[in-house]
Amino acid sequence: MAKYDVVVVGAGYAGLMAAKTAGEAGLTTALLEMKHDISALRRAETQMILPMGDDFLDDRIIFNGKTGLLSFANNGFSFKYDGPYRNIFAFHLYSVDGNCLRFGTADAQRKLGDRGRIAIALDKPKALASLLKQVKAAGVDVFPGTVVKDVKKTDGAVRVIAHDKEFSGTFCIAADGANSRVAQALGFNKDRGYYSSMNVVGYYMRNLKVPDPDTVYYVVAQYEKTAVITALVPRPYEKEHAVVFICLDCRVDLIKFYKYLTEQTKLPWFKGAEAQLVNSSCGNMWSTIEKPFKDNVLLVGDTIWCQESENFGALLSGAKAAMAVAYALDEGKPDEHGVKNYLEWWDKHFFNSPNYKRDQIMGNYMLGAILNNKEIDYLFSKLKMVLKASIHPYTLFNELGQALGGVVPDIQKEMPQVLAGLGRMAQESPAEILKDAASAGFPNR
Amino acid sequence: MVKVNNLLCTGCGGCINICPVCAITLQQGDDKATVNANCNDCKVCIRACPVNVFSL
Repeated sequence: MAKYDVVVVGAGYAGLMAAKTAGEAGLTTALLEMKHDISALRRAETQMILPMGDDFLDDRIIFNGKTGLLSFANNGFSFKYDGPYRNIFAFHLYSVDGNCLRFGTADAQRKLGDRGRIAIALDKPKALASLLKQVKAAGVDVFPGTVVKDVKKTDGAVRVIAHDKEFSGTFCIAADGANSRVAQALGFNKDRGYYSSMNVVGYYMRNLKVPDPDTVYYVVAQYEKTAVITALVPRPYEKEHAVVFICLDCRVDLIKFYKYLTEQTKLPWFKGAEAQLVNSSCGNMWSTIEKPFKDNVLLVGDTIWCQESENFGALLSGAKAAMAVAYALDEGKPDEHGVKNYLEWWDKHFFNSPNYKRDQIMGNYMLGAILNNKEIDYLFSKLKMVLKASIHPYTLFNELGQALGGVVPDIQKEMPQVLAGLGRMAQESPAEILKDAASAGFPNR
Repeated sequence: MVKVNNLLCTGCGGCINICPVCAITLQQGDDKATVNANCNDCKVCIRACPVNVFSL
């Protein structure tokens, strides 16, 4: 059994970035991935984009469109993306009846050029391929088709046990996603808050008739008494979108929902479009892990919080964890104390940061669970103002409270049940609202 | 042992870490789910799969 400085489990954004950083720091590194084809995008996700022009986890991505270099300005690392990109200028939420809530407008933001963009859309398989090339150039041993079953701490090492092989590392970095086997094996899921199990299906579509090519559209719907969110994310190719359907209740058949949305609602975007089902995912929505470390395993990316680290958080936490491991080994402290830079960063800039309410991201999924389609449409019809252009997962809705304040008297008069629903969203925990959906879920405790 | 409909599988791998007995892997060539003899018919994968790949 080969002994490595660090064994990285999972080759998504977080794991690839961790392996690249560790390899470039001169650490002997193994990267294990369950897929045989690492750069294929099999898992459907909403955010095939990187938010720009805003801080997240005390950092900011600066993108050089000429060279493809993506730099994290405060932490000082980067990776080179070799593929096309598209500037995203606005983010609009629609009801199925056609009213919308607008975070910026593409026409106004486009006039500002690159500074007006709120995100960039990449071709994610090309981004994964770019990272993999850099991982290999850094001398990392890559093991595709390797499914990890267990991890065990032994004297001075972590044993990572796969189906037909075993690896040993002074440290392990767990980047194996929302359903992490490593987090489960270490016991993190036993006492962790569990919201529900999410299902997603993802299509590539051509020739959608959306109003603007550089705007991300979400459709917020209630379907079979629960929320289904549809994300329409422009791809960096002419007239191509990634369209993703997300539901926090795994009993809902999303392929049927797709038919409902495209054939039975007033949204005119889908007529004549070509669609191909390309990916899917089923993932558990867990609460955030307070200390992402145990038995010399550091946890990164979606493994530590509730699906929505975003690609931004995955890249950043992967790099930060690998740098902390490099520091610990250089310092001769292969233990929790050695990697304290990572743990302190996590605690300060996310877990106990005043900028983010932990697990707040769950709130974004609650609207359609509480209000019906008529109520959602009415609410959006009252919010005609253009809010600040943003697609930041945590700060996006900060302005909304103020905007809502101005229309409360109208809503009280015209549709008071909408106010009651918004009150319920503010007062009840997402776990309470999702109790029925959770009863059908599949938590891997 | 549960059956796999490879025509439907997108290869997302969500089922792999959900399986309580580590009975699912992705097969060489096309990265579709495949079930091994560890399967104990618990049906968790049937509930979890968003594109209904699994059946008994």
